[in-house]
Amino acid sequence: MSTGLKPEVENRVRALHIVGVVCGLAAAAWLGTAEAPVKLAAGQAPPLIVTLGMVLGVFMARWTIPVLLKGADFVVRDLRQNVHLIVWALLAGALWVVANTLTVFAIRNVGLSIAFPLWNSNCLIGLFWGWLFFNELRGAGWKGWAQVFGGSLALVIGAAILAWATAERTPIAGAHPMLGIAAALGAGVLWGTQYIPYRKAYISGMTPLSFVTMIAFGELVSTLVLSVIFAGSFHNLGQQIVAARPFLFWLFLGGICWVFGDLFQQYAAKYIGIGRGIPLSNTNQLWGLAWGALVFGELTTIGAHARMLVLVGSLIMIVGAAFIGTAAAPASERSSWRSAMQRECTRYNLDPVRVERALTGNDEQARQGAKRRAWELVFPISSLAVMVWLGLSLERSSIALNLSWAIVLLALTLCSLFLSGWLLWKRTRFS
Amino acid sequence: MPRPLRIHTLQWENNQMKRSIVAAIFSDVHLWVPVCVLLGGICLLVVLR
Repeated sequence: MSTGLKPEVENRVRALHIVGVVCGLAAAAWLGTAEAPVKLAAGQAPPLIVTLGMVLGVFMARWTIPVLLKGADFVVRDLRQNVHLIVWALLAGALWVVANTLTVFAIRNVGLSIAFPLWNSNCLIGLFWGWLFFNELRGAGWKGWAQVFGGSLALVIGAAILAWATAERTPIAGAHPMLGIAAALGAGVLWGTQYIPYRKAYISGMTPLSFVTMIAFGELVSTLVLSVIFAGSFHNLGQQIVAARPFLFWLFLGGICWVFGDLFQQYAAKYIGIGRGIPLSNTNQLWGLAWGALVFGELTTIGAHARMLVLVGSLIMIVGAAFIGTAAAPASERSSWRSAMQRECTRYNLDPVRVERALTGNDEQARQGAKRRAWELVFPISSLAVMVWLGLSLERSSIALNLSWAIVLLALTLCSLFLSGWLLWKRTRFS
Repeated sequence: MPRPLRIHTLQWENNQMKRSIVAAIFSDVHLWVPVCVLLGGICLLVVLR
């Protein structure tokens, strides 16, 4: 069917949709894989120390990866061009941390099987904000709506079935169910709202590589503040960190994997919007399930009925992802996206031509590249040094794992990294 | 000799422009919605704790 656009424009639009979908799926793979190292450390430390350990790894990776890929000059130049967006980056980091902390209370009070489906509704919240604030799905027609909304709903239902089938449902002593439900719903709303800053940044022409460097500060400061409050004092927090040191390596590693996932999620949000990108990355539950079942043998004790539910839930999620993946934005919807972009340009005095180029992966600065400096090596070297230092005090985990399956899943995850990375480089030069 | 103009910092070297952008940030509903949601989340944490 002809859309009335020039063939090269149509090709470009199709290519960017594919980039966004592949990035959304790669995000799922990496966000799911990040659960594996964290699993090796979970239970050995209070939940907020687990979060803090991860956030420290996240902070290092959020600076190291962008500098390695494009250089510090590029990152700083992009930040200076979009100074007004720093406040949104800090806000996104704080929203993530508070939502993450709420999940601890949700699990404690209602268990994972009830809490997970409630906070997994974040993709529907994101879809709503995308429609309301950024004109996503406007002009998409009933078919686009059916594919994206129906696909998102299928993902939420599939995730709920998986959580129900796999989580333990033992009565929780001293629990407050209503508070647990409020915490889970709150986490979903916070995570869904976190996508407002994401989309805001990208319709202003910013590149994810620089935006995430600022999110890292929001995450680190918020986690430190909450950790001190929950530990009671700096002294107590220090003691808890020292006690968790034998497992900090796994948390750091989990944080680094998580950053790869989040970066791909950001690129998906940039090129196909939050309404489509976030539900796709929410299929990370399938990867988490694969790691849990195949590598950690977590489903060996569940019955035939639960196994059937796992299969049904996974299939529903795959169908939902396929629906969204094939729902490319038509010309009428892209025109609505453009009017949201124009609004940002007018409001913040941005150059619409530059922003338009950035949104279509043609950012001139990204294509020209930036000067590299020797001191930039400080980032990868210090990250490596911290990993080695933590690795030296690593204690062997008592959790048994299937190494063959771990290698297979790791190979698949790395394939997703190289494929998505190559596509992003080829089509957008990581703009 | 006047300092060469750097395009990427132009808007921040102009005080009037700087003020108008700060005003634009604080009157932007895209800021206040996440801020209100964040405050709600913090209140919920206080109750839960």
